[in-house]
Amino acid sequence: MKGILISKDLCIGCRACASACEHGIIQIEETKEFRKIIVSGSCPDECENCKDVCPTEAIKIGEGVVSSCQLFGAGTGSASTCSSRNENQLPAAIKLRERQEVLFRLTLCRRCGMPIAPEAMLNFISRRMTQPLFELDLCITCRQQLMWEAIRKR
Amino acid sequence: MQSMASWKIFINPERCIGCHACEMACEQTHGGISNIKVQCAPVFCRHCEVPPCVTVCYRNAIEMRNGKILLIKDLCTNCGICVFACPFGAIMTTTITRQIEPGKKAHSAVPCHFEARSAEEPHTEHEKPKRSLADARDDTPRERQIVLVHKCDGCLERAEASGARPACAATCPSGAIECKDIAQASSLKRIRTYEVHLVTHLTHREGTSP
Repeated sequence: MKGILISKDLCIGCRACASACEHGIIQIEETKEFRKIIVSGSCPDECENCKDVCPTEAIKIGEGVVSSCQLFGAGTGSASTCSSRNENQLPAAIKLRERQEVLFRLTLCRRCGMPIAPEAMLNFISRRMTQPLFELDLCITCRQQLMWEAIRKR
Repeated sequence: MQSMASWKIFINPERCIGCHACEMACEQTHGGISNIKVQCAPVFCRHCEVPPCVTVCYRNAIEMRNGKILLIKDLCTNCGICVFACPFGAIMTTTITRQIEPGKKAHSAVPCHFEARSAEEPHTEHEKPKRSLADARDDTPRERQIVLVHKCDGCLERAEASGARPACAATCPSGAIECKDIAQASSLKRIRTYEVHLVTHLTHREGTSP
C-alpha cells in the first residue's frame, strides 16, 4: 500500500503518468484554461509505472505521508497526517483519501487563442531542443494551417 | 520489394479536394486511428532529416529507420512532448477511453490489507480512514482517459508485408498525395525541398529539413 507524491516544482503537466496509471488513480481534468492532475488515492500494489515514465522525476512513491504535507503545504493533507512526524508508524489507510491536485494554467495559442499546453511543459521542450523553435506558442491546428498557407503564398 | 528509403511521399496541396479519403485509408491501415489530418491539405509526418521529435523524446521512443521516423509504441509514454516539438503539427493525439480492469481498481485490494494492518496497530485517533475507505471504494473510477500520441509510420507494416505503397497515396483520388521514387522524382524533390525551405524562412523555422 503506497502513496503517490507529485512535486509541484518538478511536474511539467505532461499527462504521461495519467496514461501509465492502469488503476486510474492519476487522472487529468482539463478545462479551457487549466489542466489539473489529480491523484485520488494510493496504489494497491507494487506498480511504479507512473514513476518510471515521468520525464522530470517529479513522482515519488512511498509510505511518506508527512513528506506530502511538506511538498504541498498543510492545506492538502488532513490535519492528523500533518501533525504526525513518524511516517512508518502511520497506518497505510490514512493515505487513501489523500487527494492531491497539481494545477497548471495552459498557454494559449498566439494565433487562435486555443489552449496548447502548460508553460512548464513548453519550457521543458525548449530546453531539450538543440535549436530554438518559434512555433512553441502556436497550437497544433495553427501550425498545420500556417504551413500550407506559407506554401500557397509562394 | 523496394526498400523504404527509395521512395518518398509528396504532397501537392493545390490538388487536394478535401475528400478525407486519405484519413479513411490511414484509419483502416492503422487500426482505427488516422495519422493524417486534412487541414487545407493533408498533414502528416514529413519524416524530417533532422527531426526535432527524436531530439526531445526522453524515452528514445522515436527513431529514424530507413529514412522514416517511427514511433515505438512500447516505449512511448503518451506525454505529448514530441507533439509540441514538431513545427508542422504532424504528430497527432487522440483521446481514447479504456476500462479499468476489475483486478486493477485502485482500492479493490484494500479491505483485507487494511484489516490486517489495523489489527496489528490499534490506532484510536485514526478512525476517520475507515469511513473514507468506504467512500473511496464507491467512487473508484471505472474507466480512464488516455490521450494517445500517434504519427505516420510511412505504412511500414504494409510495405514489409506486401511491398505496397502507403495507403494514403494509393487512395488519393486527385493526386494530392503521391508516392514517387526518389530517383525518378529528383526534380520534384528539389522543388518541394525548396518550398519547405521557403516555409522555414517564412515562419522562422530552423534546423528542420524534410
